[in-house]
Amino acid sequence: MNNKRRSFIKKSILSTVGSASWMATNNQFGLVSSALATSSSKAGENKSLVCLFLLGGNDSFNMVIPSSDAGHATYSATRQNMAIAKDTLLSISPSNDLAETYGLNPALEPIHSMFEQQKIAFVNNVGALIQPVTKAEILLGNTPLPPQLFSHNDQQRHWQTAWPQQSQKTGWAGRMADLMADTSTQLSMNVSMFGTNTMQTGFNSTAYTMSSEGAPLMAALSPGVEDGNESRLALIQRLTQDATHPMQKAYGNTISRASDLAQLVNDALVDAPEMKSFFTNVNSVSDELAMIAQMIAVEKQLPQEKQIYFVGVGGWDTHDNQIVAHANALTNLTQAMSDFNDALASINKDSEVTTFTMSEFGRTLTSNGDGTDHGWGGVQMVMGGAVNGGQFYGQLPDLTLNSDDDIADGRMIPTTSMDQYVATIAKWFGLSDSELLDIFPNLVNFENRNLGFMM
Amino acid sequence: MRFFNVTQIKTSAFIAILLTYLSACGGGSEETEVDPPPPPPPPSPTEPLVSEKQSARFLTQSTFGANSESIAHLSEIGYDAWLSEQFNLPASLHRPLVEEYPDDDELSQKHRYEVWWRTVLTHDDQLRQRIAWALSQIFVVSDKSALVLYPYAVAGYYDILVQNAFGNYRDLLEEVTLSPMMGFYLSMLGNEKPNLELNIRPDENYAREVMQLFSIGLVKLNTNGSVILDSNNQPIPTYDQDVIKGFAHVFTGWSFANGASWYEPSFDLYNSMTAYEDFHDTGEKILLDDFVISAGGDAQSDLESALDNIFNHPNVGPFIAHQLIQRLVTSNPTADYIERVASTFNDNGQGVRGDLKAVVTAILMDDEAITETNLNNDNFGKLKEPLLRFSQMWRAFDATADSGKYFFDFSDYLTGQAPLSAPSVFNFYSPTFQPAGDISDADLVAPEFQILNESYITHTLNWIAGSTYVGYKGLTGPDYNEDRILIDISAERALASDPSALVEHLDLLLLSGQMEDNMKTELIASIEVIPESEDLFRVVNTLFLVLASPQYSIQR
Repeated sequence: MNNKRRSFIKKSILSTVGSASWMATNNQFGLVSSALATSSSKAGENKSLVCLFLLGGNDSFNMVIPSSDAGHATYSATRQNMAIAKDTLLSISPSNDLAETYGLNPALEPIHSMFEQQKIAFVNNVGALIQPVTKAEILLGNTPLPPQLFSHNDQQRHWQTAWPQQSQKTGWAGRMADLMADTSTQLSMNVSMFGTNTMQTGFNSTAYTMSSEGAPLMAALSPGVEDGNESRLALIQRLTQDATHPMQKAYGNTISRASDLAQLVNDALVDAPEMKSFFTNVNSVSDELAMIAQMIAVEKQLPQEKQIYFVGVGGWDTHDNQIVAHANALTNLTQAMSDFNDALASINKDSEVTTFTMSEFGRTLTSNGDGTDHGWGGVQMVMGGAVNGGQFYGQLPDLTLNSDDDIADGRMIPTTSMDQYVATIAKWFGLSDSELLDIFPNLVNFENRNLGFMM
Repeated sequence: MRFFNVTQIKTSAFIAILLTYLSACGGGSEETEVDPPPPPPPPSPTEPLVSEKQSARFLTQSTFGANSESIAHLSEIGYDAWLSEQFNLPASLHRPLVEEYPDDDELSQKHRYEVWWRTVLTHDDQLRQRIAWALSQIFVVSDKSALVLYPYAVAGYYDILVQNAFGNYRDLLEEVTLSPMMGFYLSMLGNEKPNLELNIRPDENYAREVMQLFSIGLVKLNTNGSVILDSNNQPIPTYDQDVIKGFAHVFTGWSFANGASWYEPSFDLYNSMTAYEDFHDTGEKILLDDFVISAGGDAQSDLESALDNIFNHPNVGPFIAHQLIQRLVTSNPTADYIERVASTFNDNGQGVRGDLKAVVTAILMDDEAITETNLNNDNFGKLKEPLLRFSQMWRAFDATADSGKYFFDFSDYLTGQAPLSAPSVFNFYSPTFQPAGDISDADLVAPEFQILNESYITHTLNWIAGSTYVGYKGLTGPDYNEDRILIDISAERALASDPSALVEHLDLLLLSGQMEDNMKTELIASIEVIPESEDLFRVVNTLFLVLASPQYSIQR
């Protein structure tokens, strides 16, 4: 982009930010966020979180697998034709003091060395909970459980809201943005590569959606692209301002936001280094992570000091063809993670970025023939320079069928709540202990509020 | 992979083209001479039964978009005759047209999309196609799966929806259940009875989703769609894990039609799956509301009982009514509206449950959809679905490509929506989605907003810019190719010297005459600053502004 164009775009951003429709919205936001009180964590250094949401429910008890003769025999007896053969496991030496030895699914080869280099941690048997619960308590039926266990969208909502009891559907990252974000800019603290999502929707904030291509300009509306765009956009904005129908207003505001933010983001991305060459595979996840790496590279030119990025990763609902499909999904995911870490290391940002997985549930340890069904607890991965990696966190469950950890058919009762898992990350991101309890209303039910996997 | 490289290349090339065009500015100088506009139609000899505005509005709710002829036709014959005409038109099937594309290396889902667009833009059975499209967002299969390999067969699945659009829900449910495409997508195909020794249990995928998404939903509903609460003010689940297990056992023993055996599947992608009794679980099954299928049944009899059990659940009427109303009329129907439609589902007046023709009639002929009262109600209306924005534009202006085809195979990339191409069985958006802000604060839902974000609105408006500024018939030069879908704006150009008339004309065609005065004033002013000699630019610029506007984008 030439200088003339850039200065023009800067000028036009100022003029649109000053336009009446946006003033109204900003004032509204401002009032609410000042009522929320200023977070202790507002000022500080650049940090980013990257959430890889594995949509469909990852069969994550096939990632970290017992490797002793006895341990693997128990595992195989339960998993039967879903079991990963013992002699194919990648050997690891977690620094924990463990009774059992474990190996990695060979499909995790791309992050094998990162685990050994202590850049990745596994958090075991994490899931949706309201409070700690045992099998006996579940069978008794008096202990509150998350509503609609085993249902995709409800459990995605649980992981994304950490607050199933609320009537609104605000997500924990959205509420963090309500608390922490710099509200003098339209760029949200939350950036989604996967469209609108619950996790990044707050009471007063929504995610900014971009794609692996960045933020394209509007050919016939973005100021500075062509003559006449200013007046066309202004016309749409006046109609939006005049609208009384909330959907008309929401639609029109999306156009204004898209136009303004595309200019802001593009202006910053001009200086970003090329990142796609770090990625081994060409797929949507790699492309999106490459774009996030570019955004992080130019973070000093973006108004928010902290960003939370959301990436949706499909392909985990392995009701059939699991052995092949799951291995492919794991390899593609972990290759992209490893490549992303290399991209961040190239710009010395790997310690200020924490990448973590979420997935709505683990899967049944038992087989439905050639796949698995919806389970409950599962294993998650956390990656980055600020991670105390090379270790396991959370209790490893007893994989024996009908054990005290198994509610039925190998659905593992979580022994760590997703609240504890995410709160540990959020604490590193900058929330105080009391803020954690505000953002994660069920965290109060758990004694250990920091699992220790973040430095 | 969600984005295909080819679409990215095409789109960025297009944007570059569009930018080049716009930099030339004015726009009027580049076009070639086009034919003079046709004469206006003769005035109707009799008083219309329905006003033009009402007619346009009804067609926006019930078709892929109005045009001058269809508005005049409905005005003349009235709603009842129009519905009857539509109900009696033969169904336009998709699969036979997709099969006209040879089954070679080139064949892909883009050919199925082409047939979808050709059908919805040019075929007369508009209501049937619109209902099929709505049903395809309830009974979801998606080519974002292994189905991507089978364009013919996915079109065949769509034809189940087309053929049953005016039929009975129970028949539709069975055809969908036994479709090999659904069998593939939700893994009922090849689902076996338990094997205790190997810890193998029946696959629960279809059992769960057929209840959660295709029929009854998660919690018990009143006929008016409101949630029934227990004595502790909590919703009552419609089923639990035991019921899912029951249905999972019912749905065992089905595979491709006419295979030599379970282990020698036919890969018949078109005919309904057939039963292989040796692989069907014959034990007792507990289904909804403690209904029990006793042991000893066969695959077909168990299936019939189980689908009857679902079909007769009191939730089906309100559950299906609510979603069909959302697709056709408004995101937030009143409880009374849902109740009227659900009651019609429960009994069409002749003692028949599940009559979709009666349900469709009840939705479209309801006062809440038809009367003008709701035009000033800010809780009424819906964001137009992306594909309906495009179809309305193309139908209003008789769009064609010189190839006779309608290749628009990257709508997913532009808008997050393509026929039978949702990200998952949960469709493109949730019926309960609430965007943050005013809509959520008013406790309204707005499903289509789930795919309205900065990225998609930018691509959508860029595509509309390309379809207007450089998308009219008579276009030549580097932007032209024989597959480019071009709109006919000759009638509009004839009005270009009269800004007010042009605006009124577009108001009727695109906003059913609902354009508010502020927008008319704005548009007229924007036309007047363009020299009268640039009639083409006056039209395309106004058209773009209308199509991008908030008032056009929200259907009321």
